[in-house]
Amino acid sequence: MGNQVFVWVVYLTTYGFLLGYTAYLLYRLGRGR
Amino acid sequence: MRRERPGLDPLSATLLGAGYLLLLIGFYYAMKAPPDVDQGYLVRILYVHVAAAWTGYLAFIVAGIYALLYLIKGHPAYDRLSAASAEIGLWLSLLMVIGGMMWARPTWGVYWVWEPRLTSVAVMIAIYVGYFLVRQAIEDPEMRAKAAAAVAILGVINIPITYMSVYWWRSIHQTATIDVINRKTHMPPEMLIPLLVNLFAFTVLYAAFLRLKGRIAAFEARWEEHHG
Repeated sequence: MGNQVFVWVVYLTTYGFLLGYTAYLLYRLGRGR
Repeated sequence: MRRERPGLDPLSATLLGAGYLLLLIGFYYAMKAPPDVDQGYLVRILYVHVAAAWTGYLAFIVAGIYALLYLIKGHPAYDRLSAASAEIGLWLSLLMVIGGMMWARPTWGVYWVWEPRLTSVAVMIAIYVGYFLVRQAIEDPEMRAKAAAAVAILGVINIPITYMSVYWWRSIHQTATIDVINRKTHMPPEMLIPLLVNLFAFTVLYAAFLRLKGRIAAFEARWEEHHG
């Protein structure tokens, strides 16, 4: 099942982005600009 | 005018919490779903690929609506929300493309083909990269907002073309799994559920991001007003 690698790349990229973007927005919001 | 304090407001917090909870449930169902007859477990990519694609379209359409509202009413808040939605849409589209490429490599044998759907998506991304170049290039806030609104409204025209590309020019990309035109679903329930839950999760997270970004942009505008 070498294809599983592609599945994990997609899920890790997606969740990584969503969490990172949330953290970035919360940081900006906390700073007030 | 009411002055809001910086920080997380109750609505944004609720949207974020609900979005992540739904994402967790979506992940559970995606990992529980059976492998596809042809694609095997690779079909799991589709649950996030389609969700990112749909919310990306949604974000661009919302950006167009706010752009139109700005042109009609002239309130800077509409311009800020339009830009916020376009930015989130661009990120979601990039996620969609990454998911698509990771699916295409083992399935089609290549990461990218210049076929109608992929080409119209490339055009869509180029339009919104252009949108931010326009915003960067113009200093006068009112001129910037007007020019950006024009691009955002033009960009919306390309969305139905992108969506319909798989029907109009039949090529390698498959047609819609949830066919909203013919009201048919080409999926068994155990695959449809993870797709729908992920779709819902992405939509709620998009709403949360839009609200957070809109608030940040409002604080930013206020700060610039005071500190120039």
